[in-house]
Amino acid sequence: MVQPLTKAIPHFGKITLQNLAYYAPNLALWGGASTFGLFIFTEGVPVFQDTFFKPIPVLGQHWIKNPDPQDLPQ
Amino acid sequence: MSKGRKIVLTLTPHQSFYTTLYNTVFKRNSTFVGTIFFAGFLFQPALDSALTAWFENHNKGKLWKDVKLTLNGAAEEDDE
Repeated sequence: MVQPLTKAIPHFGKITLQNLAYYAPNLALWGGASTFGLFIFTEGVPVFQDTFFKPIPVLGQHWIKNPDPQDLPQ
Repeated sequence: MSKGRKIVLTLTPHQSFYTTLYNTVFKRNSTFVGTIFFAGFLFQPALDSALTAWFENHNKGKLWKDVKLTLNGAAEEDDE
Protein backbone atom coordinates (compact mmCIF):
# COMPACT_ATOMS: atom_id res chain seq x y z
CA MET A 1 0.00 0.00 0.00
CA VAL A 2 1.34 3.38 -1.01
CA GLN A 3 1.35 6.02 1.72
CA PRO A 4 -0.03 9.38 0.52
CA LEU A 5 2.42 12.27 0.67
CA THR A 6 1.27 14.81 3.25
CA LYS A 7 2.61 18.32 3.77
CA ALA A 8 1.67 20.92 6.38
CA ILE A 9 0.51 24.24 4.95
CA PRO A 10 1.50 27.42 6.86
CA HIS A 11 -0.73 27.80 9.89
CA PHE A 12 -1.02 29.58 13.22
CA GLY A 13 -2.76 27.19 15.57
CA LYS A 14 -5.84 26.18 13.60
CA ILE A 15 -5.79 29.36 11.50
CA THR A 16 -4.52 28.97 7.95
CA LEU A 17 -4.34 31.55 5.16
CA GLN A 18 -7.29 29.84 3.48
CA ASN A 19 -9.76 30.05 6.36
CA LEU A 20 -8.44 33.49 7.34
CA ALA A 21 -9.34 34.72 3.85
CA TYR A 22 -12.75 33.09 4.27
CA TYR A 23 -13.36 34.89 7.59
CA ALA A 24 -11.83 38.25 6.55
CA PRO A 25 -15.02 39.98 5.27
CA ASN A 26 -16.95 39.04 8.40
CA LEU A 27 -14.07 40.10 10.66
CA ALA A 28 -13.93 43.46 8.83
CA LEU A 29 -17.66 43.98 9.41
CA TRP A 30 -17.21 43.12 13.11
CA GLY A 31 -14.39 45.65 13.20
CA GLY A 32 -16.73 48.35 11.89
CA ALA A 33 -19.48 47.32 14.31
CA SER A 34 -17.13 47.42 17.32
CA THR A 35 -15.84 50.85 16.19
CA PHE A 36 -19.39 52.23 16.38
CA GLY A 37 -19.77 50.47 19.73
CA LEU A 38 -16.69 52.31 21.00
CA PHE A 39 -18.04 55.58 19.55
CA ILE A 40 -21.18 55.23 21.68
CA PHE A 41 -19.26 54.98 24.93
CA THR A 42 -16.59 57.59 24.09
CA GLU A 43 -19.10 60.19 22.92
CA GLY A 44 -18.57 62.31 26.05
CA VAL A 45 -14.75 62.13 26.17
CA PRO A 46 -13.14 65.46 25.07
CA VAL A 47 -10.14 63.84 23.32
CA PHE A 48 -12.44 61.63 21.23
CA GLN A 49 -14.75 64.57 20.53
CA ASP A 50 -11.84 66.67 19.21
CA THR A 51 -10.22 63.93 17.11
CA PHE A 52 -13.20 61.97 15.78
CA PHE A 53 -16.59 63.61 16.32
CA LYS A 54 -16.07 67.34 15.64
CA PRO A 55 -14.74 66.77 12.07
CA ILE A 56 -17.92 64.85 11.09
CA PRO A 57 -19.60 67.09 8.43
CA VAL A 58 -23.10 67.92 9.76
CA LEU A 59 -23.36 65.91 12.95
CA GLY A 60 -20.05 67.32 14.24
CA GLN A 61 -21.67 70.71 14.97
CA HIS A 62 -23.27 69.12 18.03
CA TRP A 63 -19.91 68.89 19.83
CA ILE A 64 -18.68 72.36 18.78
CA LYS A 65 -19.57 74.83 21.54
CA ASN A 66 -19.02 78.58 21.09
CA PRO A 67 -20.02 80.28 24.37
CA ASP A 68 -19.95 84.08 24.72
CA PRO A 69 -16.46 85.00 26.08
CA GLN A 70 -18.21 87.15 28.72
CA ASP A 71 -19.88 84.06 30.17
CA LEU A 72 -16.66 82.10 30.66
CA PRO A 73 -15.13 82.03 34.17
CA GLN A 74 -12.13 84.32 34.48
CA MET B 1 -27.21 52.26 -35.14
CA SER B 2 -30.24 51.34 -33.14
CA LYS B 3 -32.63 48.74 -34.44
CA GLY B 4 -35.23 48.86 -31.71
CA ARG B 5 -35.11 48.72 -27.97
CA LYS B 6 -32.41 46.91 -26.08
CA ILE B 7 -33.81 44.21 -23.83
CA VAL B 8 -31.89 43.51 -20.65
CA LEU B 9 -32.63 40.31 -18.78
CA THR B 10 -31.51 39.93 -15.21
CA LEU B 11 -31.67 36.84 -13.04
CA THR B 12 -32.96 38.88 -10.10
CA PRO B 13 -35.62 41.03 -11.75
CA HIS B 14 -36.64 43.31 -8.90
CA GLN B 15 -35.67 43.32 -5.27
CA SER B 16 -38.23 44.69 -2.87
CA PHE B 17 -37.18 47.21 -0.23
CA TYR B 18 -37.54 44.57 2.46
CA THR B 19 -35.29 42.14 0.59
CA THR B 20 -32.60 44.81 0.32
CA LEU B 21 -33.06 45.70 3.98
CA TYR B 22 -32.79 42.04 4.97
CA ASN B 23 -29.67 41.47 2.87
CA THR B 24 -27.86 44.58 4.06
CA VAL B 25 -28.85 44.71 7.72
CA PHE B 26 -30.36 41.56 9.17
CA LYS B 27 -28.66 38.73 7.27
CA ARG B 28 -25.31 38.89 9.06
CA ASN B 29 -25.07 39.40 12.81
CA SER B 30 -22.10 41.75 12.29
CA THR B 31 -24.14 44.17 10.16
CA PHE B 32 -27.13 43.87 12.51
CA VAL B 33 -25.08 44.71 15.62
CA GLY B 34 -23.19 47.38 13.68
CA THR B 35 -26.44 49.05 12.61
CA ILE B 36 -27.69 49.06 16.20
CA PHE B 37 -24.46 50.65 17.47
CA PHE B 38 -24.49 53.20 14.62
CA ALA B 39 -28.12 54.10 15.39
CA GLY B 40 -27.24 54.39 19.08
CA PHE B 41 -24.34 56.70 18.26
CA LEU B 42 -26.64 58.94 16.16
CA PHE B 43 -29.37 58.83 18.82
CA GLN B 44 -27.20 60.42 21.54
CA PRO B 45 -26.69 63.86 19.91
CA ALA B 46 -30.21 63.73 18.41
CA LEU B 47 -31.84 63.25 21.84
CA ASP B 48 -29.54 65.85 23.40
CA SER B 49 -30.35 68.46 20.74
CA ALA B 50 -34.08 67.71 20.81
CA LEU B 51 -34.37 67.96 24.61
CA THR B 52 -32.20 71.10 24.77
CA ALA B 53 -34.34 72.75 22.08
CA TRP B 54 -37.53 71.82 23.94
CA PHE B 55 -36.17 73.04 27.31
CA GLU B 56 -34.96 76.36 25.90
CA ASN B 57 -38.26 76.91 24.10
CA HIS B 58 -40.22 76.01 27.24
CA ASN B 59 -38.19 78.44 29.40
CA LYS B 60 -37.88 81.23 26.84
CA GLY B 61 -37.30 84.57 28.55
CA LYS B 62 -36.04 83.02 31.78
CA LEU B 63 -32.71 81.78 30.49
CA TRP B 64 -29.45 83.64 31.06
CA LYS B 65 -28.99 84.22 27.33
CA ASP B 66 -32.36 86.04 27.28
CA VAL B 67 -31.91 87.90 30.59
CA LYS B 68 -28.44 89.10 29.57
CA LEU B 69 -29.93 91.10 26.69
CA THR B 70 -32.29 93.02 29.04
CA LEU B 71 -29.51 94.22 31.42
CA ASN B 72 -28.02 96.86 29.02
CA GLY B 73 -24.70 97.16 30.80
CA ALA B 74 -26.23 97.47 34.29
CA ALA B 75 -23.84 94.77 35.52
CA GLU B 76 -20.82 97.04 34.93
CA GLU B 77 -22.28 99.81 37.13
CA ASP B 78 -22.85 97.42 40.04
CA ASP B 79 -19.13 96.97 40.56
CA GLU B 80 -18.70 99.97 42.89
